[in-house]
Amino acid sequence: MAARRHYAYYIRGRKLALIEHDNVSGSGQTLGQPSLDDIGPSGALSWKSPIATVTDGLEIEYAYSPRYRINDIEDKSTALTGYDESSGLLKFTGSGLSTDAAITHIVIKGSARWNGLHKINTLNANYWIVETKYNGAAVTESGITAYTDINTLNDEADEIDLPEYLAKALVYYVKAKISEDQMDLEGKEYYMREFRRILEKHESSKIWGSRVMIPGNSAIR
Amino acid sequence: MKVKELMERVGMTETGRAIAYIKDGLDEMNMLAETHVTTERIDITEDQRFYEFPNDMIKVIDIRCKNHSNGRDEYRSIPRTISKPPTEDADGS
Repeated sequence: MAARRHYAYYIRGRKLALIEHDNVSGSGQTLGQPSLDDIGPSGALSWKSPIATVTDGLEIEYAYSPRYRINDIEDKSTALTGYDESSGLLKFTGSGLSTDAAITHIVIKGSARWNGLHKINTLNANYWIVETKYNGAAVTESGITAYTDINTLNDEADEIDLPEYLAKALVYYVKAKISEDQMDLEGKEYYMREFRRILEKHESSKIWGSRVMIPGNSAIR
Repeated sequence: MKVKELMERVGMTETGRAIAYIKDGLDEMNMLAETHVTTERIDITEDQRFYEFPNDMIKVIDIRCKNHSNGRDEYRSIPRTISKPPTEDADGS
């Protein structure tokens, strides 16, 4: 049975700060002898950076903007072994990488830092340089997957990755932006109201039946 | 719906401008209604406090950790601290 752990987080800038409760030194629930330095008035000093390495230990669920589609999930490379800097740009390193000129964008998954869409600058069998800015040290990282068959939203023939009903909301949004450009603020407010109305209708259309209240993770027991 | 169709509906002819507005609209939609959701797993490293958010993230929906308040390898939501702990991080980044 895996060890029971207690984590918490806070945000610092664009980063997530993960802290863990060190039961051994601080809680008094175990036989470990806490040092005087570890015992704060409220046990606050027992919260510290993670005390053990856990593979795939942190899971972030998030909303993203559908600016791209992965055409074929089978077209991927797992030969990336890390990243480095090249003239201020991000360089993914590896071996036996594809140099197919048809690859214009890649989508990275499984990286601690670079998940998401990147535009290709240079393709080489030993590295891929992308247009993303990076200025830092070389990092070795395993488990990176790069999807290579990507269709980005960049021309008139592209399909917008939205349900048909929400596409109507997007039409109102673009109309609102045009009205704003023309200083037609009344028109802008009207179109933005319609945009939000459709979004709300779409949200509520998925809710059905009675609801149940589940106690939260931190609820008083 | 294709970009071209949307441009016809709003009466636009400049593709670059239309695509810029569409991208803004998609961002705004995901801020308000979370139409596209995904999850990403990152390794927790001993003594490393700071972790990057995914590059394409618009809005955080949940943060879970493996074995949080359980010993069955389950991922459970972790709470947010009101203030940061007094123990500084060794990596300091």
